[in-house]
This record gives sequence, structure tokens and C-alpha cells, in this order.
Amino acid sequence: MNLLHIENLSIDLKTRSEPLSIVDRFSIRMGEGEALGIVGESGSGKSMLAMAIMGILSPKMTMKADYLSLDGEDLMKMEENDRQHYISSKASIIFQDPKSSLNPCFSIGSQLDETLSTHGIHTRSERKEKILSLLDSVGIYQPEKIISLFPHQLSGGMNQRVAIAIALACKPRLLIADEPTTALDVSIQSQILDLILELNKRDNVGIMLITHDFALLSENTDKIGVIYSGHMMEHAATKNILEDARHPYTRSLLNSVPQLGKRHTKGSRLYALDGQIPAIDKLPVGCRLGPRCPKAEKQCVNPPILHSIANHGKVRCHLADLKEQSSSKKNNHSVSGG
Amino acid sequence: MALLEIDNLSKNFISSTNWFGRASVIEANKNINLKLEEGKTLAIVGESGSGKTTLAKQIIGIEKPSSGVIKLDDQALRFNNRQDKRKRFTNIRMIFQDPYESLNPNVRIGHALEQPLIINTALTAKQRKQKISDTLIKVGMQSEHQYRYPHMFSGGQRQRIAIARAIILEPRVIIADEPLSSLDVSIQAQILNLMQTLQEEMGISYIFISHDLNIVEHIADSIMVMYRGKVVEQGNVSQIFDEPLHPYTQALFASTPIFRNRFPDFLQQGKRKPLTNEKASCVFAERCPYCEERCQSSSPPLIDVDDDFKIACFKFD
Amino acid sequence: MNSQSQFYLHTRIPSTFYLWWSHFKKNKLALVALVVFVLFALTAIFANIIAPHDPTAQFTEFVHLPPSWYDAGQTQFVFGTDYIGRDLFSRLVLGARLSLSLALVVVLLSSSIGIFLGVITSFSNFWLDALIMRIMDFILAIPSLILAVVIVAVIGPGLPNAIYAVALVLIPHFVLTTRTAIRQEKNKEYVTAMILDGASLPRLFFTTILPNILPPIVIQLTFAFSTAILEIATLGFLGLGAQPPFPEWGTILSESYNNFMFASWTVTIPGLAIFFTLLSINLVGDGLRDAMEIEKK
Repeated sequence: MNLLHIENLSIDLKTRSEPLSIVDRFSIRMGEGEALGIVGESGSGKSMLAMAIMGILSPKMTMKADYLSLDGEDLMKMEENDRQHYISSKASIIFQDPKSSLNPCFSIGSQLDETLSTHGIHTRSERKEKILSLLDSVGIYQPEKIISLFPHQLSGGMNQRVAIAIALACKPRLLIADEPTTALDVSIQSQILDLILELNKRDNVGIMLITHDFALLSENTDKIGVIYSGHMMEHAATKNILEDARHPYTRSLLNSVPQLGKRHTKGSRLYALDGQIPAIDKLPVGCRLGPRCPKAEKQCVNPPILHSIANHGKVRCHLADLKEQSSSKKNNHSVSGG
Repeated sequence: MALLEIDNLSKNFISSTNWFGRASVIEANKNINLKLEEGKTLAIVGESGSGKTTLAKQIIGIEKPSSGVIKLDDQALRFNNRQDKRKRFTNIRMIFQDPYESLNPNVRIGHALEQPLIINTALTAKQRKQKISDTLIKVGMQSEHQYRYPHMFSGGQRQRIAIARAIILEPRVIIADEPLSSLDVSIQAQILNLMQTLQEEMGISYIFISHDLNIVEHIADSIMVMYRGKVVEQGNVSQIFDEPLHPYTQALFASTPIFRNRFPDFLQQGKRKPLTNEKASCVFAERCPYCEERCQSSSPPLIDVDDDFKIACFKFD
Repeated sequence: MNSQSQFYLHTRIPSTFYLWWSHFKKNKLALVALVVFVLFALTAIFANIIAPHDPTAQFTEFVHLPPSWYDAGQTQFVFGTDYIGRDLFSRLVLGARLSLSLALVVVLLSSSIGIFLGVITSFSNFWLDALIMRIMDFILAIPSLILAVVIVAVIGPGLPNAIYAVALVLIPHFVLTTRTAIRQEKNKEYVTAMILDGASLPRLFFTTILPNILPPIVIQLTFAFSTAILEIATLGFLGLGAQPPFPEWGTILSESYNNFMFASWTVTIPGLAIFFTLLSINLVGDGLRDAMEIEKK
């Protein structure tokens, strides 16, 4: 059974004239306890996707999907209130900046207490016990001392741990982490990442790790999805992506990071895509990467579809397809992008 | 002769006076020495609170050093001296971290770029305009962009404009304070390439403040690792990256995914040891897995291992 | 970001002022208010052409003549006449000139002093700043109308004294607005960047800080203008400002106030004039605030 199953999820921004597409027909399946990485630049729609799954999109956005299920229940068939309740019992989200996701006016303990009481633990002593065990499970040393403190008295890393503890309060099956380490100091980043991944291994929680940094995903995820300008460009197992990326965008992302061990010599340059991600009101015709793509050809003015490639995964590129035909002739091009 | 030289620079902040009027002093920088050669890049690495930005502010001249000397071309730059100020402002320029903050939203790009020229050069209005166009083209923008406002540009383009502003006076040193950390990965590569091209064309020296070791290894010639205001390790890029010796440098490497398995001692960071004598001990003693008795009671000095490699740790006495 | 203009590089780049105006235009209510205000202003400027009669001329045969839309009214006196037969319309038109120009003088006086002090405090050392701000706090601590009344009571009633009093009351608001705006601006990175360009303090202020503190100051100006009109009229009504037979709006009200029971138009019409002027100015101010404080996308 799939933990998360999305078919053709689209998110649009309402405007006076035509709605603008932020995420276009996004499909994904996540198994129980899978760690999925979502990579994309700012403006690619990756955070909107997370919010859509959590049902917390701003009212300016509209969302539609052919099928959207979480832990086996079809969300699209539920009533508004039931859905929100169901999602909050099955999935949690942690954000980039722990300072802004915690309420500065309440102590850590009372914020956790509040969350637990909405999730059906009604006796005070039970909650207290639960709070201590939650804080302990996110690696906070001496939780009894922490519960009476306020967010501003803790460091960024500690706050992020508390935010994770709050996210875990409802025993989620799916934890969405939206750039969980970006706002933190270097030496703290790996600790927080380790913590999230430990939850994945220990409690079999499904993890969706949203980031712009491939380095975070390389050892830690089972699969990676690459989003560009609202389109899923490539979706495959982590190993396949890192070793044999098929989409020009994925390759450029991988190549534009300086490799450790390669030092600067005079005249050496990093690989960099020209230009920038298109604005959502000025999307290019055809492939959204088209104007920036180093390999673009005539046929790229026709929008490519996300199709499967044998022994790899799914790629949205005409050229990945051509290359594949020569090496392994007959594979079923089952269309799932629409 | 080094282009920029810093001797024993220290900066103390008096944080607050308590009820009895006794001030507590924070040592933001302590006894910092560095030399920067023409056309080279020095990277300063460390986490937030390590005093990187304070050091940059003193070099650039907006923060007065508590003690120590900053020399440009072997001549000391005094803090409150008109001539030295001008010399500093024209020879040492700065690129800020966030291009959304460093450009005035209500001023056209061309107007912002023109200011340093009006103040520091004797160019005519026509020459200034030409210079602005040339500089914009040099950083990969178009001459016509000078009539626009900052909000019409993306983050990467804004950082290009910020670089244009830094190079328009043809400086010899540019201090870049985390210039890439607010940009996307693919844009980071563009800006990094641009900075290298400019270095090769104009012979600029960079002081590159960053926490990203991948980028530092790519761009830097020498590296200075700072922790809580002190230099803990200083050396060539090859020395430091081939074999980081100081425990803090190792801790930094351990937090980079690719390197982490080389330093298994640091995987359980964050557990801090209580210190007996916090004032006197080594700055890193609290987090150091190799902390000994003497690290608690006294602070190791920065010793010269050879000409351009220095380390502050008792392990290497 | 505007990728379309990548291809049309020579298209005109709208200035900040144009952007403000184009946002202001979208607010229909504010636009109507602006038109109303411009009509009032034009009336004030061309008052002596518009007014059909001398505002102090007494038409003794037409005492308490109702406005022309009443059966007993005459077209000659559109808004009727008052208790000694003066034409109300002419008095209101000339009153508009008086009220608006007095308010303008008050705003110019208080804003120039207030903004100057605001700039001084935000660039001065701790003690001067503290001194000026405590004086401003002292002025703000007393209800503005009471303070104005006290001042006029001390230096004597009359139009010039009323102007000084109202101007003094308005100064602290300008000082506070300017100071807060500059304090916020001073910590911005682009100000640091400008200091690193070697800019002197005046250059720093005029090229970098001023364009960014303009919005709050302009908004403060509109609200100060409406406050000035109201306070001058109030002082006139209390008999502390303009003195009869001067056709000032507050004075007109106070003169007609006793005859309200049988000649209500002599009170309602001047009251409505004040009401609509203030409403239009405040709506324009609100529109300006919305237009100028939008996030630049």
C-alpha cells in the first residue's frame, strides 16, 4: 500500500485574469517508510507542494488532483473538516526557520502540551510524561529543564529539535521537512538531518525531504524527485540520479556544485546554466527548461511528457528518450504525466 | 610584500554593564594575523558567532579595532583619518550576503552605481555613464539595466549588480561576506564563475567568508578557520583539505556529508562537557572529543608549524 | 522580475512616483476623494470669482432666508442667509480659502520644524536625542485641543496665535514619524554600502535615506493637514481663533449656533463643508498609504 499517492496534482494561483500554474500535474507514489528527496530551486513550487499535501495552502491558491491519498484514505472524498483532522493525525511538517514556527509567547512545554491535547491525550500527567519522552527522542539532553523555557532562550538547533518533537506528537506516518537545515549553522545541520533520518529508520516514518541541495540527499534518501518551474523533471532512485542523471537540468544541478577534491586552477570554471527560473506568468512554450537548456533542439517547443525509462525512473525530456532508444530498444513508454 | 596585512588585530565589545557598573567584555576577535597576496583568495571559515563578520567590518573600516594594525601596501590604515579612509574605501570593497538588502529599493541601479564614482573619482558625467555601462557588461548584465529599479531583478542578477558596485572603483581587495548563501545552487555557480573571471582579469584579491567547504575548496588559495573570535587553524587550501588537524576543523568537515565518515569521533556532537574554568580554557574545549586536563586550564597559543601553516591546539606542541 | 522587458530593453522604466500613482489610481474611493478635494481646492483658489456677494455685506431685507431649494428660498442666495442677512454661500466659499490656506501654513510650519528636529535627533548623540524626545513626549502627553486652548489662552485669542498653537501641537508627530523612519533605514545594508562608497552625511541622507522615508512623511502630511483644518475650525468655534465677522468655518458655525432651532441650514451646511473636506483628505491619505507601502514585487 502506498503511504502517499498523488495523481496529477495541480496548484494554481488565482489572479484577476487567468489563473497561473504553480505546480502542473504532479504525480508521485511513496511507500511506507520511504525517504523521498524533492530538489528544486526557489520558485519551483516545491514548498507549495508540501503545503498542498498538508492542506494548508493559502486561499489565493486553488488545488485540484485526480487522486490524492494518504495512508490509504482518499483525501479528495473527505469533508473539509474531516480531511484537515485526518491529515493532521497522519502527517506533519517542519519548516525552514524554527523561530518562526514556534510561538514566542508560550514555553516549549505548553506548546507541546497544546499539540498533545488536540491529539486526544487528556490527562495532564500522561501528557507530561509524553512531552518528556518526545523531547528525549529528539535528542534533547535533560528535557525537564527545557520545558519551562521559551523559544528565544534556545539556540536554532534546539528550536528545530523542538519543532520536530511537536511534529512527532501525533505519531505521523509521513513527515515533510521543508528545508529543515537551511537556517541552521553548519555544524548543527548534520545533527538535525541525522535526527530526521533516524526517525525514518527507527519508527518507519515516511520522510519527504525538500531541499535545494543535492548533497543533503545523496546518502540519505531512497528516491529523488527533481522539480523545475512546477514540473517534475526527473524521478528515480537516488543511486540512478547521482550516477546517471538523464535530464539536462538534473545534470546541471549536480555539476554546478563544486566537487570536493577538485581545486581551483587558473581558468577552471564550474558548470552553470545560464539565465534563471522563469516567472510563473511568463512560462516558455514547450519544455520549461527550453530557453536555458544547453541541449535544446527544435522538438523541445513541444512540451515533453514524464515517461518511464527502463532501469532508471521517470524523465521529462525528449532527448533522454532518444538516447535510451539506441541502447535498449523496446521499453514500454507508459505515460503517467498526462 | 603582501597587499593586505593584519597584525595582532583584536576587537572587544563591551556588552552590558551590570548593576554595579562592571562591564562584561566579549572578545569578538583576538590576536588575528593574516597576509593577503595580490590576486589570491583567502577564505575565512567558521560558524556564526565566530567573529568573521566583525573582522570584515574592521578591515573595511566601519568598526574600530580595539588593538592591532591593518596595513595596505605596508602602510598602516588609521581609523579616523580622512586620507586613509578614502584609500580604504577605494581599494577595499565589500559584497554583502543578501542582495535583497544591499540595494536601495527606491533608487535606480545606475544612480546607485554612480555614487562611488561621484564621490571618489574626477570623472565627468559622460565618462561615469560609460564606466557604469562597461561595468554592467563586465558582470554579465546589459547597459540598459541601469535605468531599472532593484525589484525588477532576481536574486542572482542583484548579486551581479552588487558585484558591479564593488568593482566599479577597480579595487584591489574585495571582501565577500557569504555572497552565495542566499542564492540557488545553479545561480551560485554563475556568481562563483563571475568572481573568478573578475579575479583573473583584474587581479583582485578576495577575502571570502563562507561556511560551505565545497565552495571554499574550489575558490580559495589559503584558509583561516575561526572559532569564537580566535583563529584555530590557518594554512594553504591543500594543507587543510588534505589533512585537517585541529579538532574544530575536523568537526566542520564532519558536518559535510561527503567527509563525515573520515571523522567518526565527531558524529556525536552537541553533547557538551561542563568546564571547570571557562575563562582560561581552550575555546573549543567544551565540544572537543580530545579535551585533556591542560585544555581546561589554559588556552593553546597559535603556533607556526611552518611559514604558512599555523594551528592552535596542544596536540601539536 | 519582468522577463518580457528582456526583449524590449528600451521600454520606459516607470519611476517610483509613477508606480505609486498607478497603485493609487486603482483605489476608486480614494480617486473620488481626490477629485472632491481638488474641487474644494479650486473653490478656495478662485473664491473671489465664485462668490456672488461680499461675505460681510448684510442684506437686511433677507435675514434668515432659507436655501434656494426651499419654497421660501431665492436663487440669488443659494445656501440662504444668516441672522444678519449675509450670503452663506459666499461666506463658505471664502471660508474655504481661509481654512485651506491657514491649514497649509500650519502644516508647512510644523512639518519643516518637525522634520528638521526628527533628522537632528536621529543623527545626534544620546543626550540631544533624549532632550528633544522628552520635550516631544511632554507635548504629546497633553490632549492636543486642550494644549491649543491653553496656548491661545496664554498668548491671547486671534488668528496668528491659533496658527502657532496648532502648529506646535502637530510638531511632535512629524518628529516621531521622521525619527522612526530614519532609525529603521539607518540599519539597512544599503546604507552601510553607501557609507563604504565614502558618502558624506548630507549625501547619505539625500540620495539614500530620503527616498525611503518619503512615504511615511507624505502620509503624515495629509493627516496633519486634516487635523489642522479641524483644530483651526474648533478654535474658531470656541471663539479663540478667527474672530467674527471673519468668514472662517468654525466662526461661521459658532455665530449660527444659537439660531439652530429655526434656521438649521446655517449650521448644517458649514458643518457638511468641514465634514466633506476632512473626509476627502483622510480618504486620499489612506489611498496614499496603501499605494506607497505596497511591497515591491
